Amino acid sequence: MNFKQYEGTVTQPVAITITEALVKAYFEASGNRKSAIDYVPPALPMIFYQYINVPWFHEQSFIHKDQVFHYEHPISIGDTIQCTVSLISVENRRQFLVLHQELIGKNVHGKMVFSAKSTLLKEAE
Amino acid sequence: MVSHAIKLGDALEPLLIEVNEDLVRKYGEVSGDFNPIHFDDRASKEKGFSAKIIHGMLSMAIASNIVEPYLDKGYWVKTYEMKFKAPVLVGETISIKGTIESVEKESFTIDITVSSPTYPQVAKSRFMLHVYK
Repeated sequence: MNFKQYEGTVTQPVAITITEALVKAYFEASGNRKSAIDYVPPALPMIFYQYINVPWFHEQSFIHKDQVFHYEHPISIGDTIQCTVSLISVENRRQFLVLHQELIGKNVHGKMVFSAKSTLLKEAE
Repeated sequence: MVSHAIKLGDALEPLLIEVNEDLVRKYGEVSGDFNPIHFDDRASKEKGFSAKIIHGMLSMAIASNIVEPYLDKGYWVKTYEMKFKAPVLVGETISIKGTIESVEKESFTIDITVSSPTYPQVAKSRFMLHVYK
């Protein structure tokens, strides 16, 4: 795949509602058997990728190198977040392609709630 | 204001979690990530690993459990970052250790190390927690 052609691309926004069932399933997967769900775990937004059509992800696998979440304010159960993914840059580094991309979540007023920046490696073809 | 009980250099209660096939399957289901390197030894070996490996983001999900005591006491996560250094094999028990690295008026940072029996450092991580207003 020619990843360079997608540099600067932003996906269509997808509205995702944080449900208690989703958060509970996430906690269970992380080995946390909480009886009461009183916060949303900070790395949870990465599971939103399954709901977003990211064209440069189709049938691709990557090595995840770095991940940074930044929150403007916490998210809560019941919140609906508009999410987009953008491919910020694609670089050649030795035998790898390095992809920098960002998942951004905004509230219903269009204000940023969180960003999730990922650095991914792919063996150059 | 950050509580006076939170002091520079203090160690957090460490976590030990066995990342078994059940957790990996559950993370696959909740994330929709069914990459065979997480479920099939042969597929993982074809990619150069010694056996099937856990999702990197599962490490990050598990490691975030270490700050839960603070989230129950009026703090929220402002930033959470992780650098992935080495893979975790499915079935390994990972250790998560944290230390208070800095304390400001309304926030503090925690440095985290994740290790496994195979690799002394599979990930390095940092949290910034902020006082809930």
